[in-house]
Amino acid sequence: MKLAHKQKNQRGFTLVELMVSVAIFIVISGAIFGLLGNSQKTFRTETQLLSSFQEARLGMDQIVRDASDAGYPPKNHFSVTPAVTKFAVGPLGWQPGYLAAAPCLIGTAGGGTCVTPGDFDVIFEGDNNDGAGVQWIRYQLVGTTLFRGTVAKAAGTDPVTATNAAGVMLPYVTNVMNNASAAQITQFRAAYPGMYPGNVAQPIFQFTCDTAAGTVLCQNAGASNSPSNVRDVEITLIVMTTQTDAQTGKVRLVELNGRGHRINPNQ
Amino acid sequence: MKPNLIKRRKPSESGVALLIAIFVLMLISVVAISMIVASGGESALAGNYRSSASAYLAGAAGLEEARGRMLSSNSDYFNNTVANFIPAGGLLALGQVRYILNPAPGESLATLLATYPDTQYATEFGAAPVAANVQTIASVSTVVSGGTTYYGPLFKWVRINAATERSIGTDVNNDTVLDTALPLYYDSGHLPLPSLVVSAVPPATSKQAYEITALAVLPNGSQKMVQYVAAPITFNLSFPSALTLSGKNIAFSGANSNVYFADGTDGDGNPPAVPGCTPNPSTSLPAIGVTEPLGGTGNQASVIAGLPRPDHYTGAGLPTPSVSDTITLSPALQTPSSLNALVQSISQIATVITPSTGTASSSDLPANSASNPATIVVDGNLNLSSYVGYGLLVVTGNFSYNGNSGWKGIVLVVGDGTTTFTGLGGGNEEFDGAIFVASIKDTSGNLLSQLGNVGFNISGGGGNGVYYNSCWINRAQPTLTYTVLSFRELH
Repeated sequence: MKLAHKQKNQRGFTLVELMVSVAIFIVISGAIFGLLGNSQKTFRTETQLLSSFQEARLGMDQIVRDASDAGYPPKNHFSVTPAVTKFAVGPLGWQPGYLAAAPCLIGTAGGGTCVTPGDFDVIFEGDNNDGAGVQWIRYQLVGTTLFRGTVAKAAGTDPVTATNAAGVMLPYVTNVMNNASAAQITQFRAAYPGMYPGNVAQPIFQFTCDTAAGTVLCQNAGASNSPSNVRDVEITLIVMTTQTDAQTGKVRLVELNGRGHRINPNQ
Repeated sequence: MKPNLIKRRKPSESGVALLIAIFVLMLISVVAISMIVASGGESALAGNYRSSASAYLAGAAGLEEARGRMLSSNSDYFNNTVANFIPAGGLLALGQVRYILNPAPGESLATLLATYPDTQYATEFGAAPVAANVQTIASVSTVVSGGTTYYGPLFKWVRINAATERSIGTDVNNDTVLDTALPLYYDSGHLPLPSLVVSAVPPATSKQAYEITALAVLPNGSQKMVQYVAAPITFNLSFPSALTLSGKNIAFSGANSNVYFADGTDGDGNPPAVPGCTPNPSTSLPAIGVTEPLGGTGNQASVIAGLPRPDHYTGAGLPTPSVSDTITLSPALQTPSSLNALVQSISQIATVITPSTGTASSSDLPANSASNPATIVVDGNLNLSSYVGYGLLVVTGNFSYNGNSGWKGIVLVVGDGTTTFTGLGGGNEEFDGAIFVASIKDTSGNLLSQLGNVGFNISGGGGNGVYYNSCWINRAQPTLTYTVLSFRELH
């Protein structure tokens, strides 16, 4: 009885049984791996998108904080005016006219007389309590890279010259597409019709100024249009993923909006 | 035997299927877990930035609660809950520390400062505050409504204290030393710009500056500490003389009393002292100032002609009687429209009395004292009888007084075309601060295009007179808001 039992166990499967089971396994596995492949492509694309989103968020967060802290310490903290490096003349540095204390006019899309602050360039002035004293903190878009640089405020130089020194400005957020070309904007709008209203480049920075009637966009603020009167910095960051969508082959964009509210007074 | 063998093959086949199923399940599980882990890491990154912003906003909310509750006009004014939380005159001595505590659910009010210690204070002042000098109060940010508790922002505490050069790390007077002994004041009259000042004798136009610091801690441990330097803002009224009369035609009858004086030298009267303020005798203004809207010197001549005792009117180094018609009024006092706007602004924060009989009396006025001056608008006439008041008084009709009556602060008689200031009877009280009289409306209540006629009659005596006092002028003016002089993130 024991021998007979052993013989039966050695029979195994028939060739047909094996072929059928292997075939079924291959079909199921193929389907699973096919789905897995698609999922991985989607995951890779979404990961890139998320990475771009995170990078943009990090940039946005820092810009908002720099804007909120700008202007410290204000001139009202001194009964005897100290050296210019000890206080912030206002929330923003500007050019031209900074050294002459002659404010320029803030515009958009090429308007105004300010080189900075502008659509893609801003310099915050203030002491952010890191022990470095009053600093100039500049954000400037060059090509598709938003650069950030900090340098100690110095007498006899303007903030643009100081931050233009070698090694000051460092890449901060890449693939920023706010100032895309017309052809790119057309391409982007095909995928994202709601972006780039007016079919034109989108400013990263827009500025509101304090006026007697309230806070309005600086270019509409008339006599109150001045870097010293900037109250809010509205920030728009449009960031593109480093690679196209693995499935559709199209570019992916992320748009983030934020607002830095300057609290310190301008004197 | 054979049937038994056939039966044993079936379980063997089931085992193969189970193995395949387990293999596939493991494959899928590994992929799924790796995706979850990856996306979880990204979510954590996103959460960190959100926490940073949330902590920042929670701290800012704490600062704003403190700034708002320092106003006496706020229904949640600190002193309504804890007496003397903000001392009289708004002066918080160095070392005195006030905390707003805002425990989260499950946290204790009593142990909150032990759980979240204020190490920043020692950094700013060199040592922790003395326990006896610390007062605490609960936050009002958590609201219970309809049986439901709505928890407010997640700040833990807000500290309010006097600021010094060292505490804010700023050399205010640029003397290369960070002073630790003198509290900072904000001088709205400082030139060329209003600024913080550090002085053992702060100017009369200054108010103490406060340091307000908030700590926010989120449940995930994110922390943020933010700080204001803030100072009270008032109407900032200033006067060019002890008694100022502004109108087209001035009818003036001076006092016969031998004890009646009008004196423009700061602090020459005998009012109660204002804590933290010392009059500056080197500030000497005309005893009486008048405007001449019709040109010439008619009003000045009218006043001088109405003075029985010219030598009792002194100030500004002028020959007696010290009556000037070259005064300069501050913008708020210049025109009917600006004065009307001022009265409207004051009315918004004042106790407004509308006498049913047309004339209010002393008993209609709200409680006031030297330590608790009031802001009062009488929309009509007012007659004081043996009454001494403190604060800012606006009368839109006729103002009269008799007996031992006086006022410490500001009296604005800004009315409807029949404005007179009539003092009758003897008395030995005095007016310390400033008095301003003008007409801005006609008898129908319509706003005039130019200031109208005024009368000032104290021929009956009217006490001991009018004495310019800068301290009482400032003390009488209510705080409109606490303006933010600066903001910074500490860490």
